[in-house]
Amino acid sequence: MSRKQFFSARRTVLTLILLNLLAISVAALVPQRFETPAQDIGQWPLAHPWLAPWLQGFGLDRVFSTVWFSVLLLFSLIALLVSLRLQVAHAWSKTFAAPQDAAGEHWRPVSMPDHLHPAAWRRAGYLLVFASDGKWRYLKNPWGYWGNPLLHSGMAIILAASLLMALTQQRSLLHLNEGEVHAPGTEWLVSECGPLADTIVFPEAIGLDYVLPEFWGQTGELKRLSSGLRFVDPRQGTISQVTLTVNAIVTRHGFRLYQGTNFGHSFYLEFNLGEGRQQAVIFDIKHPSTRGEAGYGNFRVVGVPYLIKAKYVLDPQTPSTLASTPRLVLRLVDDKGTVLAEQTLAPDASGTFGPYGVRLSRVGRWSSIIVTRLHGMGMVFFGFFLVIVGSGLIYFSPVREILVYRAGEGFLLAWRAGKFALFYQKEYESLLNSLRTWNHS
Amino acid sequence: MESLLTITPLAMDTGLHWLTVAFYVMATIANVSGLIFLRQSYEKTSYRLIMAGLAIHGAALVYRWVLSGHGPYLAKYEVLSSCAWVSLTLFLVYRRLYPWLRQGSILVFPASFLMVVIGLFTNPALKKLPPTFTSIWLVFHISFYKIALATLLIALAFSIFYILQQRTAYHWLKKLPTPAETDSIAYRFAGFGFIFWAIAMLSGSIWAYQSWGRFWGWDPIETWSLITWLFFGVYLHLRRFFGWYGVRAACLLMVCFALSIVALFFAGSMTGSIHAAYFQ
Repeated sequence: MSRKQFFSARRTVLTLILLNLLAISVAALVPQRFETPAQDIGQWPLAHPWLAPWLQGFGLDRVFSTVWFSVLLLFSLIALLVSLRLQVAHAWSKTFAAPQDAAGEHWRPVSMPDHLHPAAWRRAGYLLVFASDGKWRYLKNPWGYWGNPLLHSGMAIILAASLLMALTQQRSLLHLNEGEVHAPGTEWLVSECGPLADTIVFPEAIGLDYVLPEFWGQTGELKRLSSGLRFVDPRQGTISQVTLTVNAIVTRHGFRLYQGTNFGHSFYLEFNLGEGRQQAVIFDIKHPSTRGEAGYGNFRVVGVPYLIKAKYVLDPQTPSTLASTPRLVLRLVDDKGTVLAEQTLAPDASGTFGPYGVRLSRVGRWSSIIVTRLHGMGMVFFGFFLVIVGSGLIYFSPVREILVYRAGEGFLLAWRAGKFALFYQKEYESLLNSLRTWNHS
Repeated sequence: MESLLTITPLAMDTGLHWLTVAFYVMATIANVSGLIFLRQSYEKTSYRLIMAGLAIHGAALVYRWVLSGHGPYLAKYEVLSSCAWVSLTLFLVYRRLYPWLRQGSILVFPASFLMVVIGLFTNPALKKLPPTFTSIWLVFHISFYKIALATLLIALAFSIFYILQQRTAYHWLKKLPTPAETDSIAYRFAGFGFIFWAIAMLSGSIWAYQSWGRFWGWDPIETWSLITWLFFGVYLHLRRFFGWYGVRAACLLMVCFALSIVALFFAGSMTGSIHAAYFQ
């Protein structure tokens, strides 16, 4: 068996689809590292000890970044390309070649005029595509033959584009407080890039001027979120301001900037640790999802050997969540979970917090910005489009074919449908009826 | 006394849904008995009842749409109710195009009222749209999944009919198309469902790319949706190239349909899904 035969064999194709399915199913059932908190990832092998060796050996907790999955995708791509070449050749010959002697067809003797082309056939959508040597071939929906090549070329394009993107993607997450500036080349909060790409270096400084959330009146759920950004070009000294909103992307220097959905309040705290030591920190806490809920966060402060648990609630008396002044509640907790001290602070208030003093100097907002550069997105969507058009041609417009052969003084007629012949039996009968009508007229 | 007579908008909404259920149940009883006992008058009545139910159901959905300010796709109650409405409406459209789908109502009618009833036993409270849910691509994404489900429901019905035709000799089964035709109908509607599912995934990926810069994030719903689509791909591949037909093809289709239910109604509740907002 040649390599070409191997990759185009039905069993190979089916095996590859099933292996892809198996890989994706494993990823759906085993928690994956990129989307699961670290502590859960650590717990999973302990809860399923019999799976632990497989987890390590085959990287079942990071399926999509394993070598074997890339090899599987590559094999699938090769099989698709080999199969595509055969399908194009097949579709070409089916559409344009002379009618082949169709063994097994149900031939029916008919009376027809010499010039053929009954008008009713044309009206029914049958086009004459071949006429020579006493053979005629009519096709309805000849483009239906191209459904399979289009479907498979779409899949090949999606696979190729996905591989390209996996190799070259750049994606970073920025977390900014109001008034903060991210200088070019500074580290991002989170950064992902493909093996052939470097971490994003955005050519301008990005400053966050303000965060503007809008809420639904009754529940206080988030309705709209915008950030006012300031871009400063250090070489030319230019400053430009834009508003970034969820679902309204800004494109700049080839990068796409998205408004993340995470935002909240920033609490600027000053801890007095005694002996003249001061520690200024910012506690960024995610905004509560509804009006009645609280936002929570756990923090460590240099010089404080305890965990600080923080929560904030919005003033329930204030009708607008936006106008509400948040109140911060701090708890000092030791390793055993015992609460050692608690303090509630409004902006510009101070108080004691166990052995320490604490002051809430001001409250602002923070927001997350996503910066990406992806190559191949257009290809992915074009591939999807081809998949849909291809499968649409296969299932919505199957090809129907009429063959007419001269046989002595008369003609033989055969009709067939590329797919779902049972659906079109009435169409065939009406074609025959039109012939009878023509003969009688 | 006045407060007792006051009907809250939510009570009005659920009341209309319960009225819909009443019509659907009566229509199902009339339809199933009409088809099984070969009483055409019962069957005709069932269509009158289902049309009335569909109109009330449609009014309930529009009323809720006005109340919530968004389409019916943000909570179990809305999702199931709109899926039922789309399934029924699409079945009536298909039936008009292909009259031999008539017996499909035996599965589609009860499935629709079950969806509405299950929805009614969940929390009907109104939810507000999160900011990422304001894209037009989301509307296509959701609509095509509903259309895919409605189409696959017909494929499922005819797969079950095929198995019944092979294994039993009930009189009413003789009124169905021939077993070969029944099998072919299931195959073709699975193909339609495969296309609609692909369109739903495509519009979802465009929405995701527009909203958070990823076209694919291996979110539980995305993964289960892809698994379902690939399973249908395997089903179609086996039929096309391996000559699968009959009972084993029908059984495989039932497995594929079960997967589509997992993908649409259960995967969204899995931990960490960005789709979690839609089916809570």
